[in-house]
Amino acid sequence: MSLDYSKPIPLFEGKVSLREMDDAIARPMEKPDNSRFLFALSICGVLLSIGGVSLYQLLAHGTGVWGLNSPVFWGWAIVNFVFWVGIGHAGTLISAILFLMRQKWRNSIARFAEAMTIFAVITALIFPLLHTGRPWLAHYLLPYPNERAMWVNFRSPLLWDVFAVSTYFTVSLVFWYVGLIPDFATMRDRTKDKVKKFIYSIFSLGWRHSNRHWQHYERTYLILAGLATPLVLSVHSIVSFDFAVSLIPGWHTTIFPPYFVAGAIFSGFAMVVTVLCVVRVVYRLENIITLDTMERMNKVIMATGLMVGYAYSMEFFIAWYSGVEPEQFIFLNRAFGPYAWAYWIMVTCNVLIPQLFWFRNIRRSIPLMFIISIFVNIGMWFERFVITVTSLHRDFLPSSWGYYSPTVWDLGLYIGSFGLFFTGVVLFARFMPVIAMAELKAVGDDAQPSHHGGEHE
Amino acid sequence: MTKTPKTEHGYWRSLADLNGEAEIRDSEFAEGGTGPIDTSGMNGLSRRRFMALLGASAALAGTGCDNYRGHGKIVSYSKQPDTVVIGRPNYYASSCNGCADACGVLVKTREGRPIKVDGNPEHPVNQGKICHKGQASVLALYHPERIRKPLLTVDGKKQAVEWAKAEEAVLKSLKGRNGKPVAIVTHTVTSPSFARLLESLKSDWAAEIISYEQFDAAARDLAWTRARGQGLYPLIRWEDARLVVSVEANGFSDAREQMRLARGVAKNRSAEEEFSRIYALEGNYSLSGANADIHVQVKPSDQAALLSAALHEILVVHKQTPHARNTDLLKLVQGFDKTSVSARTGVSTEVIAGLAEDLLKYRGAGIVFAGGASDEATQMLAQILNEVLGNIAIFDIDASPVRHLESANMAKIVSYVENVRAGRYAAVIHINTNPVYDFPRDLDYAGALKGAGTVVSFAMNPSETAEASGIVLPLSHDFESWGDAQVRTGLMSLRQPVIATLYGTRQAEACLLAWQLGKDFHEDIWHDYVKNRWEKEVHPRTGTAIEFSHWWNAALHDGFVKIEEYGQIGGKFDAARAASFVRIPQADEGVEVVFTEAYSLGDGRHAHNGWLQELPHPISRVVWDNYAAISYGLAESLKVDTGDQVSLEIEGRKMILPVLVQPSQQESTIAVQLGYGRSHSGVIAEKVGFDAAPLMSSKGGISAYVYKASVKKAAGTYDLASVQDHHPIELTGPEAFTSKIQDAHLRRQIIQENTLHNHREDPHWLAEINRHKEKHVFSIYEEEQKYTGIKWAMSIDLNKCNGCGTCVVACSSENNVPVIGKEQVKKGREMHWLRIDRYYSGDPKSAKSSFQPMLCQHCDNAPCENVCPVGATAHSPEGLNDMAYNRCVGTRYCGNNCPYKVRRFNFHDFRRFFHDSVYYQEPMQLAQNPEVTVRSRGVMEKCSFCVQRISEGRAQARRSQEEFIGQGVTAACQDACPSGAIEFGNVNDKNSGVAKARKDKLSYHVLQELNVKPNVTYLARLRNSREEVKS
Repeated sequence: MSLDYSKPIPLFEGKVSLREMDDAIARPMEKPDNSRFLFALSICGVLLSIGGVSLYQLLAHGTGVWGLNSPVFWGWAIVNFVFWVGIGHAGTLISAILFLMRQKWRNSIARFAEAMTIFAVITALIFPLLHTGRPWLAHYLLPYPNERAMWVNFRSPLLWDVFAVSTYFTVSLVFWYVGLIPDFATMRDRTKDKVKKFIYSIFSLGWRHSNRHWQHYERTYLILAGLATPLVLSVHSIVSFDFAVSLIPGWHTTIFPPYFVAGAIFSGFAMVVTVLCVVRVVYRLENIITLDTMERMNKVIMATGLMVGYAYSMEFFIAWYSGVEPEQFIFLNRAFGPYAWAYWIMVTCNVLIPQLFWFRNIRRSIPLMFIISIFVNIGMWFERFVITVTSLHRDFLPSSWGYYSPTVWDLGLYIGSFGLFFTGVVLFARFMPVIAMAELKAVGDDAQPSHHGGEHE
Repeated sequence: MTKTPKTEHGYWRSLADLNGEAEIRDSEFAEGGTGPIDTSGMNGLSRRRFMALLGASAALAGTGCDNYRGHGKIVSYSKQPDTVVIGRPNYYASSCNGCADACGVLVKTREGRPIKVDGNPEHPVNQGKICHKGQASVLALYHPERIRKPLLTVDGKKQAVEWAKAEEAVLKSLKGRNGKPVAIVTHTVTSPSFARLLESLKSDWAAEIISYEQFDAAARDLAWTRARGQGLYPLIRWEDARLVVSVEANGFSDAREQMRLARGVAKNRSAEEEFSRIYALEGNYSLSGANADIHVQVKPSDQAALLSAALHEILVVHKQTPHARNTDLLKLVQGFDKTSVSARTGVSTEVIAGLAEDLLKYRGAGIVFAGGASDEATQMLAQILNEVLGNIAIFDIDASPVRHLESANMAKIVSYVENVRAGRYAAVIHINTNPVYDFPRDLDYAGALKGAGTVVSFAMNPSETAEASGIVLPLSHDFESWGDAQVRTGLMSLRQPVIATLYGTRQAEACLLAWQLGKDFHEDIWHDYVKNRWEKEVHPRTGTAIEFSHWWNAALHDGFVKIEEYGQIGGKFDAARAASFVRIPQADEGVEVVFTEAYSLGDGRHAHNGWLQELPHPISRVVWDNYAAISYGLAESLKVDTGDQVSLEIEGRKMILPVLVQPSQQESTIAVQLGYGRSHSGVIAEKVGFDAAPLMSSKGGISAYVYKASVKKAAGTYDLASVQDHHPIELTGPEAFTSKIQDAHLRRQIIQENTLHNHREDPHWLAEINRHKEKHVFSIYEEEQKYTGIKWAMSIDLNKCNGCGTCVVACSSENNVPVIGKEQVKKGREMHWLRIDRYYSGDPKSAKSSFQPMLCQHCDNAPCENVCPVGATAHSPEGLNDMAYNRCVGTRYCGNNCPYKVRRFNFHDFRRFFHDSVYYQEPMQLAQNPEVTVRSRGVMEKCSFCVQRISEGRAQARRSQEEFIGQGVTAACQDACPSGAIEFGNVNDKNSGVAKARKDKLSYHVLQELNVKPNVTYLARLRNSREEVKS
């Protein structure tokens, strides 16, 4: 097969006119397939209600309904938290960093990835809140003035987490919304339904597609992208501090911040690929979300997968090199101890399976990338499980070694979290433009009109 | 002329007033304050706004101010008793009734309710210490399932009735007994007054007294009597014993004067001074074995042979005693040379020779002590060895044990049960006993009771016997009762109530006395009886000149009196007679089962006590269960592992029990604890563990507690809950991995141990290691806190700690630690603030055990503190790692980051969650220490170094206007430790025990290399193995 690398890879398959773009993106909102929508929503509803029952159990009886114990004080809740925060990373990376790098191929997937970020972070946030013993006192984590002059402990990584994640969420939400404004305006202009028009009018904040608006918009978007860029790195670095700042072997590791960020992008991209594989087919957007774009995503997955694999091996090396007995033990214990199965699932899914993307055919095969991306997310969930649980279950004193197994309510809340995430995704896909129309049109062929008929020779 | 007042009112306030010059002063009250209201100055609060505020406050009051924590009100005394100062404890001396030791106790009461029990420090025998069962007795007082009203069986169903009605039923059968005798079943009666009453009933009611114990020193006493013709096995001066040889003594649990034993043995475990040597010759790996310097695995039926071999060495090889020419003894040991015994028992000749050498070396200062489970030959040989070696010198000649009533042996029990079955008694009265459960099951006592006439049970709690009794009379707790006790000569103790009866229960002594006298029950009836007897019999014997009434009050204050009475070691040893009772069992290849008393529950009488059920077995660390402890070898050949089940068969009696693979257990010995598997005992004990007693019989086996058995694997599995090794550690995987698991505690220097010999050769071995660690540990920060004032710290001497667990119960009692139950322990959520870690080192077939009490180390660089996002755990200026429960939101990050894993989390509201909320019911709230917060769900907790006691000490110092440097402050675990292993205090006070311990050559910190700067110092354990001989 011969590839011509001298030409840019086309962003669309075939020729897509600006109108076709608008039509394709607006179609799900204007001519919705309600039966399919309700079917998807009801599945999400089932998942959500499983989560609801689990939540009731948790609030009624305490964290004891989970499998937690001493020494494993943190279990699935924290694993899920890190997992979901990680998922959220792709959105900001795609929308902010790739935007700053002028990667035009991002425009077809940025909106969806951003939406997934929002829902992933919302989903993630329920876990640290609920995993506390007394969630009704969660406001103690905020530095608010009070009559007892009790202040939060700024030395605690958990507090940094509160700030990091909430900042990330706020910036992501604003970034997402700002990007949506021109599209809301387009939708307002297209729709004939009065109610819809009213709602779109409100959300489009009086946008009139004027030059001045566009000028302000572009500036704001750039600034927000600049603001969001460091957050991509900071959030997961700080989440990793929850572990790295402690003194538990297996947690107390300086490699954690870059390792966590790479892992987050890895899992985030995988989740975006998983979802887009479905969305582009269901919404018939194959010519906009092209195979080339998907292939690019897969390349990022492979690259970050290699970084994660490097981190795994480096952890072992440093443990051996340090000469610290509990440190050496904890890594051997990961590989050969009672949780070896989890460790090898992680290695298989995160390091071995993504190697398949070295093959172009696999990289460009929708069914295969769908499966591999799911494997990556399984692997990344297990990575967080391995880090959290295997480090805790056998730490310094052999007398306190224990074993942790989750209960049905751990599982229930995890299922519920998928319900929450996908409810968000489904509602988003039904009621909002899943691709940024304005951005897409900006890179469309017709955006640079010429008398050559579009092609720049 | 008289001056007429010019004032209008006729009186004057000042001279100026009088002279009418008074200026008009401003009114005393502000204008408008008392006059009509002037609304013009008020703000314009409209009616609408007022209504809004009213509504808002009502809504706020209804929702925001819901008092979700409060359940009830605190009400002050309307008439305050003059002895009670609110907020300050009162202490009362009394006597424990948990076993036949009758330790002196000091009961701490707050606002009239007992909340903590400790030993009476002035008591000459137990000297301020009591065992775990004594510590837990306070829980029994408040046990929500206590029987509160007399129960009368009507038409086969028990009905709660008034006392009068129940008594009427009893009296009817007593009066109409027509010459038939009355049987009274008791445990050992330690009270001389009660013994007197029972004696008198012998004539009045033709009473037959069956005084029994399921586990006692009867075999030892019997051997003593046989060898000497009289007397009881004497008391032992453990504090002088340089050599202790425990023969299947199971932690010496049936030795008299337990607390003296623990204290005495610990006293001689000091590297600087005396260091005794402890041998344990046993099949079941017990607490004695775990603490032994030399542990010899020998199955019960071989123990007599092993002792004979030692005797053979002494008499025939060394010929160093006057008995060396005694033909009876020589004949006895004939054929028991070390080679043949070694071949039979598997004990090496070197060990046998070494044992004999040591016995000779510590002649007169050693003791060979056979446990109550040993057969007659072993018992007798132990006594012969003591005699031959002159170890008689170790017996206490100042005091002898006192027994008030003949204890019922098995023959007596058998005939008694027959008499019951034949209906020969007018009435059977059980006094706080549970013979249906205790008596050998082949006697079928429960069945026999059906044929008896009136069956009465005095019981505090539901029991199998109470179930089988027609009349159940609720018994008062010891803390609600009067009484006295004498268990050794020269010392008499008193028991006094420290709280009024909670439920109108009565004490059995008082009821019997009232019935005997035909009087109505009266609260003081037993008090008067005891007092009267003491006035006539005890007071004159003290030689005091003080008038009785004053003396009596003083005696009650002290809890005991000394009387002029001396001990004696009766009889002359008759070697021929002694030897004639020795029938050494034939060598046998089979499996033997040793039935032992449950470590925490005794014979089962403490089974309803949650603290004791949750006290881990010191060796296996299992809670809430018994099991068949099986050696590694046997487990391998049966192909079973911990959690599998085996079927035990003894003379056709079968039972399936869960397996616990016990390191260091003798290959073919299986040990099973009794006292579990209670069938009628309330929710705490029912269906907990297995009732193994049906495997035993009244005829006994090798001894009353040791039986030959066959064992095979049974189907099914059973989950045991252990607080350590929650799941057995599988040694699978590559060598590089498994080698890191085995003996990890040694490689990580968590346990530092050495032999006494090595230590004396090089006393600085540990200091070297510590120095090396100190050199390599540094911080990039400057030390913020200098701790110039008080600095609290603890030290634990691992040479003294024997792993008994008394401190754990004391801590639970002091600090309101909840009971969580088996299921939660299985999940790994035990709440004990103080746990005793047990590590096995070396080959599992002959592993050594090490104990290490582990509690919050109150690190100077506490890793828990900096990770708490809300600052709920912080350091005090005195070096305490404090917990603010109210602030804790329960992120559990501190628990994760604690390298010692001593933080405990309330995963549930455990009091409510445990067992149908049984410990959430009345009157359990009275058992809580009011000085310590009862923690709610979702809160982290941990050892506070008894901060409430520190505050009390500081307040006390302030009251007496002294400078507070930590004087008078003790931790609850320290108070409780029978062997005095724990020191607590101000390390900046150079004279404090803990400051001295830190300077000890054996001191070290666990995980010092982490630079968390722990404040609990451990003193490394030394083992007095026979290395001096080898080198």
